[in-house]
Amino acid sequence: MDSKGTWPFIASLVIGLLYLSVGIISLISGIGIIPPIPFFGDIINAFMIIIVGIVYLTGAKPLMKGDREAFAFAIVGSALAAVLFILQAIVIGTNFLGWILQLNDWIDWNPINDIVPSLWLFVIVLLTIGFLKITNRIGGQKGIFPLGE
Amino acid sequence: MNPPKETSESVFLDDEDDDDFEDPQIILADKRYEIIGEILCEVYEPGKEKWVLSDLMDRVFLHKYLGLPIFFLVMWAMFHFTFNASLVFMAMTDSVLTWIATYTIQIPIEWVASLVTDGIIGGVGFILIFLPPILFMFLAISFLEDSGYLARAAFVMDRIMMKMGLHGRSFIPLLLGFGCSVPAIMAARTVDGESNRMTTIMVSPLMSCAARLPVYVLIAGVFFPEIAGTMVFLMYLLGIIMAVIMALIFKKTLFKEESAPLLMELPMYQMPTLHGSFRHARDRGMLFLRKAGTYLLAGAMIIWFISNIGPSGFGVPVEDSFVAIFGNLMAPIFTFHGFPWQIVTALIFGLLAKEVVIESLGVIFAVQGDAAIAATLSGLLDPVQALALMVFVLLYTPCIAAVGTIKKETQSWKWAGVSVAYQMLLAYIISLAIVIVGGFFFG
Repeated sequence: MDSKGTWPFIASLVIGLLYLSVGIISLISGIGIIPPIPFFGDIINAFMIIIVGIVYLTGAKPLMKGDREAFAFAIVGSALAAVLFILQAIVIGTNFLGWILQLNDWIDWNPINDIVPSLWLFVIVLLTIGFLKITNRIGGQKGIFPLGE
Repeated sequence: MNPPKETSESVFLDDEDDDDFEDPQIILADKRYEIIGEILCEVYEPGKEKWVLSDLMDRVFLHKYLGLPIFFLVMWAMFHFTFNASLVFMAMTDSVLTWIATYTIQIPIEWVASLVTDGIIGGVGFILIFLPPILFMFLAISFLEDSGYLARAAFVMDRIMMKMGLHGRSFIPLLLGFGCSVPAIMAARTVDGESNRMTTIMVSPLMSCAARLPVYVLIAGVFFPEIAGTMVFLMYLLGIIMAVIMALIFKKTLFKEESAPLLMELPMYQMPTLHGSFRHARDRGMLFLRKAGTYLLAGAMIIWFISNIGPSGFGVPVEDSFVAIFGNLMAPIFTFHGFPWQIVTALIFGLLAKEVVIESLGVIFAVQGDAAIAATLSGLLDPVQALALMVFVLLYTPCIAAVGTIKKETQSWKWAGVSVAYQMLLAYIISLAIVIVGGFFFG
């Protein structure tokens, strides 16, 4: 496996494990096995994060074997992570609107309460992708999908 | 130019038993693509790239094990967006209507003031509060449709339905049911085989249509505020599950026929345009407004009238009106559910159209504003009963138009009657089970 196959594999594995572990922690925290942890969301959020983690991890193994088509798992995983991120960003945006307008239910709104794992985990994904792009460890000049070569 | 797209079919053919290859549809599709392949060999110079992004993404979205969880994630995201993003706009609409009501209540002629404030603003106006989530839901559906994912969702569900001996194509009309049951029932024409078509017609009303959304949004917002978006998602999920279960029952009893595999050309994935999605949402919003401005308005006025007139004349308290008499007469049916007469009346009026459930509550409670109705509701029901009410609304006959369409499509009043009867029975039994089981655990 060349270096361009290693880094996507490592990135998928790390991001996948991160999502999976945060999801599992959120889940057991949500169920009440461990005390609630700030910024770790609820049970349903936990399930969604676990799904994203599994998508990444499913792609990691074929990526390790050099199957470049397995980039699809990283792409879809990132797309799902982006969906969850954008969704939460929209919720925060609309809550902010309610707070600006001083509507009854939003007077005591605190943005801290809206920070869930899907928000900060995606920032980590972006940073990882950004790092790999900058250091040219994925894609390179031919782009991220040098498939069929 | 890209090679012909047969990924989806290949994916599914790989998973099926050898017997399925005997199916004429598959043989025809194979032959078709064989001919296309031969033509392409002569006219198409393949490039270096083996796959396009769309094919790659199908490898994940149509994955044997990941496809379904991803579908659930997308669905959850859609309803989370529908509910949570629209909350502030609902509150804004509510504030405007409450502000208008402070003026209309001052109209010198008392009955006109009551008609405008309690009947029109309390009824139709209350429905309008739920316009934002409806717009947001159609925005999300349109986004998914334009992206090409919705067609994949049908394929993902097809695998499960096929395993249960059902016709995969049935899920496409069922997906239309998220918007409205009427086009969903009509779309069953595309399903092959009379038995498959009949099964699809019979279960289409179980898919949660947009008209039910205001009921979920109201009840989930009042009784489950922390997980309201998830509750709405669960209602839609339950609708799908019940449709699949009922389809299975119908296939094993009334409409026995071999199922055929789903063959469907999948569109390429593409980035939806904001313009297209907004236009779709706007069109649906206009449709809703037109409905609100016509027969929902007429309905609100009729409900207002019968909730103000009783045996002792006009202008009586709602408890002494014909609505209350009717509601109290029917309420024993729901004794075990613990639904009060106001809820029972709203459910019966809801047979006309599901929006009328909310409209009726607005008029019968005769209070303005989301918060006031929420307070009244929470005094009448406990969370378990509220959940049972949501499930009842999900499962019972969607509207009179859907019944008419079933009659038209099946050319039989008998099947329209069977549809109404089984849905009522199903809604009653499942909601009662929720009350009993929920009462056991939380009572």
